Amino acid sequence: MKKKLLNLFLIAAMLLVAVPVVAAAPPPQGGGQDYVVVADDWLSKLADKFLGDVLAYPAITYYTNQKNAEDPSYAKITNSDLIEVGWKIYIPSPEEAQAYFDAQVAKVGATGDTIKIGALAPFSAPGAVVGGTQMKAAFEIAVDEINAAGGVLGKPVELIIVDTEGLPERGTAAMERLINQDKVVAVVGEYHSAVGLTAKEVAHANHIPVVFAETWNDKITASKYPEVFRVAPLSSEVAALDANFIQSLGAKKVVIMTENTGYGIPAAESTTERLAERGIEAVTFSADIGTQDFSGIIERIKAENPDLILVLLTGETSYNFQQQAAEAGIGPQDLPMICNQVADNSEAFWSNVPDGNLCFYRKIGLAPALYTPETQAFVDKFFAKTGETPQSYAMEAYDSLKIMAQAINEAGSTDADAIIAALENISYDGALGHITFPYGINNPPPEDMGDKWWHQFPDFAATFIQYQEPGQNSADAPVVFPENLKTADPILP
Amino acid sequence: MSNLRRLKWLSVAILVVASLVLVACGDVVEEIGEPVAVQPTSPGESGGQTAAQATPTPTSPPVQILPTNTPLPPPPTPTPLPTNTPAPESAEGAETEAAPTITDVMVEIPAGPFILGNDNSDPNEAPAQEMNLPAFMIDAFEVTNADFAAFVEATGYVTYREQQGSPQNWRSAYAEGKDNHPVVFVTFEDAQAFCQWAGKRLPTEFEWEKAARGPEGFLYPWGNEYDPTLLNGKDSGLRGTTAVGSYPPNGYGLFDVAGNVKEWVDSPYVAYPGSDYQDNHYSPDYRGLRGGGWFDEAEFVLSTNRNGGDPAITANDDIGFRCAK
Repeated sequence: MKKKLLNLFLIAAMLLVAVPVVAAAPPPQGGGQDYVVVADDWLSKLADKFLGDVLAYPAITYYTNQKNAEDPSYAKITNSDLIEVGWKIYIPSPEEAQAYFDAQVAKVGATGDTIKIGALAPFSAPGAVVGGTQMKAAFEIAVDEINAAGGVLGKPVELIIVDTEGLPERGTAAMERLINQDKVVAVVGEYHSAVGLTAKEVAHANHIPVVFAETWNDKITASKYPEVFRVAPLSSEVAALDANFIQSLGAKKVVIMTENTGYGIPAAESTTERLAERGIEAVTFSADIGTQDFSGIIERIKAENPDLILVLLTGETSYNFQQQAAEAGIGPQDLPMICNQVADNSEAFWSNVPDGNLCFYRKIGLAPALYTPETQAFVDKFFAKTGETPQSYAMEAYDSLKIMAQAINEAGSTDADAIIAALENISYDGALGHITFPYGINNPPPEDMGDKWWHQFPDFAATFIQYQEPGQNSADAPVVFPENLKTADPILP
Repeated sequence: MSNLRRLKWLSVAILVVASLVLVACGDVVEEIGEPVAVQPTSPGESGGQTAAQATPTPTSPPVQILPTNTPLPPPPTPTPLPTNTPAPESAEGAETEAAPTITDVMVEIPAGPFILGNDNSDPNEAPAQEMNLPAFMIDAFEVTNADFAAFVEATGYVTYREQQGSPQNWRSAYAEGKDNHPVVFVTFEDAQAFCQWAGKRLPTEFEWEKAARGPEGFLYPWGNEYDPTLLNGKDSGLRGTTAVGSYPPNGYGLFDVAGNVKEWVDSPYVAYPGSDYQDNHYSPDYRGLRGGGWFDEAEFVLSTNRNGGDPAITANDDIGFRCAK
């Protein structure tokens, strides 16, 4: 019993050793040792014994699971509180453990008397490392701006960024660490929905406000937790975007030109279902990736006499089809054509599809046509810092932190209820545009909209763009859908 | 100085054990080897209290060679105690090397009842109950590196860890000057092979507990109150094994039953008779580990504490054994 209680204590005291270092490359391998679990063992005890720190046990879990991926004689630890007699685990060397923790935690902002805010993002596989890296740069820009403007409640913000690895269990652990060990007053960020789904439970249990960034799963807001807000799109709305747009154009019969792949066939099927729900007929044609000659398929498409073509072919193959269709009289200037989203690369698009004017394409993330002065300022800063153009998840990360800082200032306190009230009333202009959370405790989402709109930023950028001039740069192409975001009306052939 | 002190303890231990064996068992005799004078490392450190030495010859016939048969030496006193800081092995390594292992010493545990278990500790130790066991012999010391090396040399035995190609095995732990440290990284099956070769067996869990609790039925070798200076546990701060016999023995003359290394016992890791407690880790396929190791705290070095491991693959840096027969 004693050891069980100690376990609980350690879980509560939670996780990771705080090491003020930036995210690093994947930890080195080697120098550690194998260990076989006996009945009286638990991971924090082994961490104490071998690594000199009871809180270092996530490193054992991490390295053991890494070993397991290559050699199944090692255990797979899915819950650090449950290890079984006879499991072979890998105890990292102190250097390996340090490297692991270096890669886990980064602290940004002043030290001393600060307001601590936690941030979640993936920096390690299987997480989206590219996404996490951009989010981290965005967080750093936001912290610099907040502290340059006087901080929060007169104190500098200290941001503690934790690597979630894209793993749900890490979401729980990271959130518990931030709340119980680092004593943050609020949390922002995260890329993966799977992590968001577990992290929100911890936030709710501890009554800590969160503004999630790139986590699309409807359930994250649909739980209607007072603490949980989101600036990312809703996945159900994104999935239905094509069908909603096609419906808005008044099409009755659609041809879907898709690719013979594990992406293309299911995508066509789900789109067909959504169109059917809207009373729109769809006929699907498929071709292998790399198909050069579409003349046979194009003749059959003509025979179907559709009033819109949706291209789910990807990459070069989509260009081939779109140009050949145009030459055969069923191109974007003959009937509405939703080209593949790679059309966003205007240089490649126009060189491959010179007759592609009036193509529509989907764009998830803020289109340049929707950039505000705040967006442009962030994009410029981000480019100066990283040499990269920020993706939508970087904008969401930046805004999630800036919104939280503004809310704490407006709350005049770090009290969770005060922050939540301030977030419900927030009016913020940032990289993603003007952000509000219209539905929540004081104004529940209407029944016909559904609970997913709870504390949800409604004007997220999932849009259709249209090239309206031959050779137009995609940065100049207008948004034509949805209504609340469009900068021009669609031009129909 | 600590190695010198340990040697003194060893010498006292030998005298005590040998005399106990002689007195208690009459015609049961144990070879402890030819007494050989220790090479003193510095003038003035040799003398009357030299360490008795022995060469392990488990297969040779028992011959009584005792330094003296009367009178019974005084019981070990709690001083001098090992210090809490390990002395550098190199400084006195020559002395240790010059003292081959002396651990083939067995103690008879007389027939009769004892109290097994503990109602005031982990529920897997309950219920406390009277048990009756016939007399048996048990090693006074944990089996050492030198002992195990003799076994390997004689038989060509390859431990499980070595078969697996693990860089951490009993050889890697057998650093210079560690002849008299307990062998580690041995599985239950490795331990069993050693004991069989030595004409012995592993003790059962009940035997182990009876021997460890001493004639007084203590929870620790010295009594019922924890004292971190009397064993090599976590609180000693040593973070590794110590030479066997570095701390005072219990009332039966067994050394290191608390701490140093966990010891394999030949009993399944299951509920005690009369207990309906179900530990998540119980399995008839597992074998017991008793006594706690060098990184265990007070509750895990209790003579009643129970632990268990997989007999085929569990071999860690704090697991060893002693034999019985």
